[in-house]
Amino acid sequence: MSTATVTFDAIAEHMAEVLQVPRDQLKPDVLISDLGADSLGLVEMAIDLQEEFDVIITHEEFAAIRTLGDLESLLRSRQ
Amino acid sequence: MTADDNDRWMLSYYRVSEINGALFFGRVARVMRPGYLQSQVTHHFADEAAHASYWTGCMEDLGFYPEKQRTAYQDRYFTALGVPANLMEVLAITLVFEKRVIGHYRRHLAHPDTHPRIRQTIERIMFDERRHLRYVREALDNMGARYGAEVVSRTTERYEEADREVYAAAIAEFGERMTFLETAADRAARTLAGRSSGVI
Repeated sequence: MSTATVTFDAIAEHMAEVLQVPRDQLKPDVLISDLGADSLGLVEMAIDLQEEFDVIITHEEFAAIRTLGDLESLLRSRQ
Repeated sequence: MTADDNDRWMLSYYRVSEINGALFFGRVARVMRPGYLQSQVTHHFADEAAHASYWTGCMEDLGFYPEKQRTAYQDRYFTALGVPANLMEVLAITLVFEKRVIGHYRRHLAHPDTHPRIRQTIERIMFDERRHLRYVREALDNMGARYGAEVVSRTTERYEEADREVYAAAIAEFGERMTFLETAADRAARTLAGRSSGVI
């Protein structure tokens, strides 16, 4: 399986699918806490992105992320 | 030997734990990369769903239906520690939980008044739980190369510590429904948990 390159569009596509939110609502300044994800949704989202981009995020790093832009920056820094 | 309200509550609690476990592993399995671990986690998801069915059948055979419950034991881990954020953390929390489940079911089997139908169901489930423990241990050992053996070890210890507190708190909260399975060590832990949380 090839590794995808981290882009905001790619992240947003995955998150829209996993969390079942409209893609056009996902912007870099959107707070993750505003997406209405439950615990299982957050786990699935975190695993999905790491599997897709072949990176590792720890619990502490994930807990510190506030916006989708923060998430993009973290994933980019790991790839 | 007859089942009572306490059995109904306890078996319903086991059942919802299996259901929530299936939902958890199903969510993880559907986004994992293909390979051996994906296969194991998918099997784990199917086992948990089957176990929920075993408990439902067991309760029906005993003459009652499950209580509607939503929150399972393992949900308390998320409250205590937040959600696991990567596959290694998922497996570390699973290792700790599987050990807890096996220990708890052993204790239930050791109780002399356990109904034969309940005993049969526990034994059937424990067969799968031991297999889960083996694949999870093996996967965590292999993950040492990617995540760092020290990180894997620290993460597992962190979840083990949380599990001890969660178990003591659960016993304190559920009181007489679970104290028939309690050991002297549990009683001591419960007393400590009660002191720190103001329950006792």
